[in-house]
Amino acid sequence: MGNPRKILPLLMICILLIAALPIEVTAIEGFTDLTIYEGYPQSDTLRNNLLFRDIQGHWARDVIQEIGALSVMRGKNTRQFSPEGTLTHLEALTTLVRAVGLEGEAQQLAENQMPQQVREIVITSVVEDWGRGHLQAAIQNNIITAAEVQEITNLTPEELEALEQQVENRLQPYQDSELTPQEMANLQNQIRNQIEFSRWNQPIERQQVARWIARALELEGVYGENMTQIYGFNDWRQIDTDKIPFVEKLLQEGYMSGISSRAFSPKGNLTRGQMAQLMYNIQGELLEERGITTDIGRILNIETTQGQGGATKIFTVRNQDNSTNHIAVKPTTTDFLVRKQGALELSEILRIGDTIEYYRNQQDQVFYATIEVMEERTVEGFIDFIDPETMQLIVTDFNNNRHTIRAQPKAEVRMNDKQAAFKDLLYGQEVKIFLRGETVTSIDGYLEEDPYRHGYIPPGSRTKVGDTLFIDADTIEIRVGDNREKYRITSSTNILRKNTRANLFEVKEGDRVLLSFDDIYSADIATIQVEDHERHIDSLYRGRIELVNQRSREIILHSVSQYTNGRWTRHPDQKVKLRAENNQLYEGASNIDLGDLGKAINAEVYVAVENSYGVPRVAKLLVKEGSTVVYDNNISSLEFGNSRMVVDNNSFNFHPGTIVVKDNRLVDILNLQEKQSVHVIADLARASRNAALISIEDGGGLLDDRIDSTRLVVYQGSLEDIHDYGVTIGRLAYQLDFLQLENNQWKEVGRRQDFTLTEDSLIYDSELEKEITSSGFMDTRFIDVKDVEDEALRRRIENDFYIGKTAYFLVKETSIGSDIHREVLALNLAPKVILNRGTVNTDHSTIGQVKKVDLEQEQLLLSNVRHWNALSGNWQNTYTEEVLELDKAVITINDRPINNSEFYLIRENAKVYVIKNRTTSQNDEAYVVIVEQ
Amino acid sequence: MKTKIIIISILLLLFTTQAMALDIPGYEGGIKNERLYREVIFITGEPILLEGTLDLRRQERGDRITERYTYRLSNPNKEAELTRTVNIDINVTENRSQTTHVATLSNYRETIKVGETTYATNKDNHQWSKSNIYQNKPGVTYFAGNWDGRKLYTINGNEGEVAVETQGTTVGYEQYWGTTETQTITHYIHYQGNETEEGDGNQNWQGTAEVSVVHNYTKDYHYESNVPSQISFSGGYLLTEKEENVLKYSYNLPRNVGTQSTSLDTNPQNTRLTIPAMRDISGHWAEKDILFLASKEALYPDSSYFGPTLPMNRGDFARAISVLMGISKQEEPNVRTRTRTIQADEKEDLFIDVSSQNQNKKFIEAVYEKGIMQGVSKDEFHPSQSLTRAQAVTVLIRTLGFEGMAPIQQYSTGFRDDNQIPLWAKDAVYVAREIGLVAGTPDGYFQPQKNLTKAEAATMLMNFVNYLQQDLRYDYRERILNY
Repeated sequence: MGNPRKILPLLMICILLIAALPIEVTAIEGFTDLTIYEGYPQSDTLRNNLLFRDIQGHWARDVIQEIGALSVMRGKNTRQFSPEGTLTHLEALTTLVRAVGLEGEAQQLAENQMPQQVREIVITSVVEDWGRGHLQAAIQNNIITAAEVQEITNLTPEELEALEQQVENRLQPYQDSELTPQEMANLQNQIRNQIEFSRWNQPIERQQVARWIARALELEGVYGENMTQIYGFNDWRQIDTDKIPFVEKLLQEGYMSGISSRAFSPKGNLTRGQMAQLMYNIQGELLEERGITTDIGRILNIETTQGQGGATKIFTVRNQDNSTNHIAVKPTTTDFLVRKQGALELSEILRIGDTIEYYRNQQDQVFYATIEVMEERTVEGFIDFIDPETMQLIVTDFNNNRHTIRAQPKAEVRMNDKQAAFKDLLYGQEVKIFLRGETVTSIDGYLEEDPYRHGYIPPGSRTKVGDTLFIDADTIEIRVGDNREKYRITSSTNILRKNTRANLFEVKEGDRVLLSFDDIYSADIATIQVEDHERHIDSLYRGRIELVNQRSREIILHSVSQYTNGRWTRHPDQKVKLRAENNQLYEGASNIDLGDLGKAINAEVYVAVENSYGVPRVAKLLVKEGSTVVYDNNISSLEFGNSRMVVDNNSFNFHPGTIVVKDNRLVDILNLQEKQSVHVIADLARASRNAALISIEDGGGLLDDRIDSTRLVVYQGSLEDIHDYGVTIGRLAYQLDFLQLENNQWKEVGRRQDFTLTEDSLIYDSELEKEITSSGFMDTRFIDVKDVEDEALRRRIENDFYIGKTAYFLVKETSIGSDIHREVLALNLAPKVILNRGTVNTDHSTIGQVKKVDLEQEQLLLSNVRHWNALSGNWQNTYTEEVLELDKAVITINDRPINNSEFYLIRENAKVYVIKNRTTSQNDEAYVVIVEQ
Repeated sequence: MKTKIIIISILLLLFTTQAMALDIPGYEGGIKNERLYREVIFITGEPILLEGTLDLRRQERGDRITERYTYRLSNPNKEAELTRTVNIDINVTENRSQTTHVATLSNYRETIKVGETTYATNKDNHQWSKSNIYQNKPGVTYFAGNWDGRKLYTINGNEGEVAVETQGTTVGYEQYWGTTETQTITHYIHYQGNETEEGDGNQNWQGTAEVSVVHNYTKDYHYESNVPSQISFSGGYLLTEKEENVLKYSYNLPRNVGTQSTSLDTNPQNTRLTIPAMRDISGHWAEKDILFLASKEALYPDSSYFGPTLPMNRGDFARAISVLMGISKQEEPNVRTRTRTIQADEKEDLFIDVSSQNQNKKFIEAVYEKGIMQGVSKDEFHPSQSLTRAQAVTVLIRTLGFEGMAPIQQYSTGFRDDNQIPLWAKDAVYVAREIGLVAGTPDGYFQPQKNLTKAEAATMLMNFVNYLQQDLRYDYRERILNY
């Protein structure tokens, strides 16, 4: 083992053999999708072989290390490179053959042409054999021509003689052995060849190297006027004619240079160090040929995992093209060389954040890396030119310098810090371009932002849909799924129903609303839209489950009763089919699904039904548990904490399944209030009453204070005076003040009051059944009927004279601060029969729901009719329907008076409040009809 | 035999371009199911609901579509009868991811008989033009269109004329879980009767009416459990497809205002879904969601183990989205012809880390092609990498094509960890919150960088499906019809 020259090649064989084996699977394979590159076996040995002592401080140290690591040139031995040694023909050839990746082939050739060994006598060394192989490979690959071989090996007669003499001398020791003549001749031949071959160890001329390199790189020569470099050298004429074009080419490419600025020295020799530099210059061209790939990337992460066969160190590398891969090394077996600032180390010196250029072979083994110390810089300026096709940019910076930059397809582009694409960049835009070396890593584009448009959305485009829980003049609380959300109503909030403007009080608890907002943060509502009657509770059913169809989401009930006019009446159909699409099905307090309901066949249920698009649909369903008790009274006590309320001195429990209905809308339990008049249907189970269905019947609330600080008030009095757009109400009779309807009771009010009259006010003379225009009405104030002397004329105009007549005043009161503004919506002139000095009032109130409008007869058919019982102070259920004659009545719909040709505007299911006067024992006449729909 | 095959394949080629089979029963404001067609007319001064049949023939040839509608309707109570034939030519223009339809009337004939009166019109007395635009987003196609028409009917030949001016708007979407088209049609009717011999004065009136028609198709799912307990599976999911058509009309005619609605459903179409094998999710809070998604094969149904608390990976998420949205890889053209070559199979992998062995390969490539999910680099997808909440939400919003709904410039999404949300995900997170797809934690955090577990992913995907089934429909139907 004493001869280091022998060890190295043997080692190489070992390495090659190992390299040829299938790649060992690293521990991390299968756990990552990233490509994994392996390290290179025996890298530490390789490194030891490259730690030359004689290159320390040598100018070519770095290139020798690199060329060595890439196995293009090797040392004289493991400790010596002899950088100043003169390059021989054989060394030059061997280097080039290796550089083009033919070393293996050369070695095989050497093996094939190895002369048969004579007995045990070793003549030629491995190095010599391989040298021959390399020569052969160089010939085969046209690096060297046969003519050149001839020239180098050509011997003068004297040299030939000297050679023969040498052969004789070498053969001498074997003369006495028992070799056959044939063996002897063979031996002689071998010795001759060896001596002949030693001619290749003579120094080589620079121009010859140049020629061979040109061939190895397959470069074309440069001729004629394209020759520029060569003439700069004084000694150019010394170059062989056939080599001039190639020397020129190498000079032009910058691979080679003269020995000084004026001399090329074509016939001079090269040092090994110079050869290393030369190879370093050209190696970039040859890597591909050798199957070596290089990548530049940044180390993102270094991890060490323990696995079979020891620790594995995994480097995660983000490459310049934005791809990411791992390099896995096992420091004991596979690793790779790393060159860092003139030192050759192993991968252990790599740190996170290092940018490396790494080389890998065809087996995807990384065997060598250099730490790239790349300059990171930025270019800031404005885009002068942009071509999305070629991804080219010309940027003028703030110092007016132009930079031409080509971006990689994967370079990250951001626009005001948001992800964008290269095509999004705009001409004239300010950009900041980040470069590492010449590679664009990312581009930041800036567009001026208008702080006033931060977070801008088109007005009204942010919406929220929910069920109204509470609403007052300036807030609305809605239920969205399981959440309660509160928003602000401002003076600029629009309220729309069916795309027409509506009053705030028309938004009822239980209504589904769509709120829209003008910006993304504000709680101020721009528009409240109210979902129409498709969601109103059409009827309340009690029935037994017959069938549940989960697939079409339908249930079929039998023995159905319907809650109408305050009573449960038999439904005309034997079976009622209902859609059940939402999940509002309850059994007690718990939410159940259709599947559960399917197991409760024949159970009795309460259902609130909405009529959605002509199809009856379950709004809420509760399975009945226990026997039924019904109460009709006010809530005297209410405790949400205990889910308990008291009606008619009976305590009721309520729960999430309790169906609460108000104003035809399904409302929340939280909408219950003390003193509310309710109809409660409860299940009596285990001695407790569980409210199943609560219908809040507070007289419709048509005359209640409204959330927008308005209310409707009805007065009865005489027309004391008429002004310009105004009337004064005065006492009905001597010692009888005018009356105001308060809490459904007529009360005397002392002070005279002025009301505003407008063109929109409806003035109706119910005695004559005649409508009077506001202006006509006001004009009468200038005439005093008593002034008319002609009796006939006086009689004729008496009817058109109003001062002093009695009337019903329907007034809308609006509170503005402490002031109250009163506006007459409708005025119904009707004679007042004063009975018993006003102590008996024949006026009474009725509420109900419109069932049908009869335009021909001018009648309304009301259902759910309730009369006000002035004695008990309660609404009394009549359990019947009632026909209402409209010929004497003034009607307002949602505060808008209608005349008698507009009755068709009254919709079914509208709520009405009627003030009637009993003229005879049989007949009631309606004088004021307030409709809300 | 050979020619037969060729003819069939030609026919197949002709009709493969047809989009989702949404039966739009014309532009007259009617609804239909398998059997019936319903429409309302106002020409007499009162709304008359007619019922009958509609025969629709539709042919597509390249960029031309012809539609032929034949209506035969009646209302015996009102002694009304209507016959109408409409031929419409539609010109289709494709423009990147958008399609424009321009429709013209090529033939028109309509006769309405109410009692003794006959109203008639034809092509010469009917001017009409319509155009639609379709925008194709990865998972949903949205469209909107408008039309205007003027019809002049003669009354009993010479007793007068009724002019009907119609303005129509349509808006809708098409996607795997549901399709909705809402047409809103306003009519202005001007009735001019000539003076008759009886001398009852010339009738003359004007009226307006608004008709809204919604065609909705929804895929729904139900769990059907088995009664016997000694059976290899205790139950499974059933997918039902159903059409729900709604007609709502409000009118303001002489002494006659009102709003009515009616609807027509189709019989559900059923498909039983796979029975998943997983057993480790029983009793898990996301059991139902996981079971359904696995039944739909949006998650792997074949393994006994699911691992609900394990992280969801990109490949499986791509699969789920692809299956749930019915997105498949663009097939090579002419696949249906018999000269199918093996060349297609030799195509290089789109991603080097998604090999042909990867069961999610076709799904990954499909969502990549649609632009729903991107690779982590030019040629890597990292199918086994886990997915953060921010990434998942971005994928969902991209599928819907809603990125543009977010505010511009700088804003806050309103989550308490808003500053943790990567800028690329911010728009998606904002939109997802607005449309109710994500709510964040009860204390207001979004946790954008948290990796999704498989159970969380299942819940998020089911929310997404429910959104596509119902919430989206609400915005297109109830919002237009009921507000």
